[in-house]
Amino acid sequence: MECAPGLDKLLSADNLAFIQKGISISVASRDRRLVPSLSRALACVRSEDSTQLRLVLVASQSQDLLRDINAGSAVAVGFTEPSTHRTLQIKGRDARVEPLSNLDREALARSKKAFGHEIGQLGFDDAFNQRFFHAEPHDLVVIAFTPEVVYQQTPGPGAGGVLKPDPSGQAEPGL
Amino acid sequence: MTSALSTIRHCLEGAIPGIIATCDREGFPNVSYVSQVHYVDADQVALSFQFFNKTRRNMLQNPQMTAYVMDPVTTARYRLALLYLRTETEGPLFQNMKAKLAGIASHTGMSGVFELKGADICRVLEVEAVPGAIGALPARNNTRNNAPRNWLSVLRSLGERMARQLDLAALFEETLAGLGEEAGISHSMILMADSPHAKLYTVATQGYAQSGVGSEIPFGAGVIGVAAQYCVPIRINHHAAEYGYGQAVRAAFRGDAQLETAIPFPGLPQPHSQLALPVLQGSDLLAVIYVESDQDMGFTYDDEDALAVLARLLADAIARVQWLPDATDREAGEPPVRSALPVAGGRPLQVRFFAANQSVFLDEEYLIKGVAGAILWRLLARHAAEQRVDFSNRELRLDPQLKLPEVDDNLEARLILLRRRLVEKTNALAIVKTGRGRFRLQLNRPVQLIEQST
Repeated sequence: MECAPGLDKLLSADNLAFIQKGISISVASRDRRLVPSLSRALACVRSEDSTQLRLVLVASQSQDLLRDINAGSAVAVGFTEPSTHRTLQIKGRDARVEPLSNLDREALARSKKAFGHEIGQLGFDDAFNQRFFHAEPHDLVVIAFTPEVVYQQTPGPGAGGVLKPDPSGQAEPGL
Repeated sequence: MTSALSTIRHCLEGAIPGIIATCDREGFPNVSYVSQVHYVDADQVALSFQFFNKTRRNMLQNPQMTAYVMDPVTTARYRLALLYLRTETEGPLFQNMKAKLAGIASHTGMSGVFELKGADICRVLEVEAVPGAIGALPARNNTRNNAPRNWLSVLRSLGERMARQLDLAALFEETLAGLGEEAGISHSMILMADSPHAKLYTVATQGYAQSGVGSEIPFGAGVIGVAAQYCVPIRINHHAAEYGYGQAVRAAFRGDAQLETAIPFPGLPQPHSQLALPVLQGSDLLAVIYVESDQDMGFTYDDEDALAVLARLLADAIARVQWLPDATDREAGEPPVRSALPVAGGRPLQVRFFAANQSVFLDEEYLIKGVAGAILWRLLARHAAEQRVDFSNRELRLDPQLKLPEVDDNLEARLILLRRRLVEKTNALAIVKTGRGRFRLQLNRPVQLIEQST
């Protein structure tokens, strides 16, 4: 089996921390007729072997998306920090639906706290955040995938560029 | 579960940006934020097209899209199945979204980055309520800005108040007073359109230290001017400098010497919410109703709907009042005075008239210019020549020297303006209504008329 390249080949340390820190995460796929499916994820964490990203979602809120992932469709994931508009989009083709691990649950708890703080600055109260993260434990699933391409998507002139980490670890917008 | 698009409009105010998923022809999905998912009608939304990006390229290849929006108060989430139809790059919808985007950009520190290139119009095939925890909506409350107003009861009461008015001045005052008392909207104004000169003049205001009656706004300038130019409601829920009176109008002033600049516009110095609605008779612009607030998110889609209904009521009421016959001598109450009333003594009031722009100064202090200035000068001249104090609207309309247009002269509105300016600027001179279409020139001091040809 071919060895996966590892997340740090594709994402700078800064960007890898950014996508796991508890920000807004949206996940898209599509069905056989190319109709997009879309949901929100509550947390993102790297896999233990650091080759994949694992997204925690509420299954009952994401039925079409999970159906499309299970059918083998590609996935696109948007990460945005609401207070700064800083945005990355990461795409992959090998997404699978999996149960939560303990590490996923810990990531979810961290994400909930950080996201509450993040949107608190924008005027959303804790009750809003509690509702946003509310889910029955059995209703949570993970979408795991290997990132293939990372796009810089912060609004402005460089939006849409492909990111490649340079040797210093600083990611720059690509061509 | 599906919902009606019109019932989820509070998710479309831009407080939480919408998410859009698209897919290219090869089957690769894409996800991005969109600043505005704008409600067009019960079956359509328009997405703000700000950047040439992957979303846009995909949308043109494959018009099937999915949007995800969230209620900023209750956390209710909805998925919208969309089909891209076309892009508009000008016109009322575009201007409406452009103004709203300016407010969103300013609020989120993205002024200069967010710029509307087009309105991407999409058919809404389905609105799916995403299951999840939902908070309670605030109770309706007519006196607080951030609670939904009970507009049906407000409009019922306002409609009755307006229907009781028999002249334009009272109609305008009652409309604005009613908005304050019934709907808790404490800063409002009505501006009449002067379409041949592409500008509006303020005839009634409520809630300002200075009435600002007589101040003018050119078409296209600020929220009010854009609403007039495109005959479309313009609503901004955050402070946006480029739509403020100062910046928008200053530029226009430089290009138009005839524009009223001496009377300051009365609006709030930094409104956080602004809503301007055209008052239309058929497709003709009669006036603009404008309301503003020093709070963010002051006016909702529902407020806009309700004020659009109010604008319709106002248009009908203006037409009704204008078609009321002028009062007969008997109805006018006081018998007409054919000769001058005894004039009180005292130092003469110097009335200076500049024919070039028809401006009038009282004791060197500016009063008014344009049609209202010309009317006052004509009344004073006839008083001097014929010793008359009682006049009718009809004779002004027929007066060859005034050259008012035969139809749609807005004479009544000009007289409101003149009457109000006199009240604000002098005790020496007044215009007093004596009946429908009739009024009296009241002189409390002798006047000295000076005409300047330059």
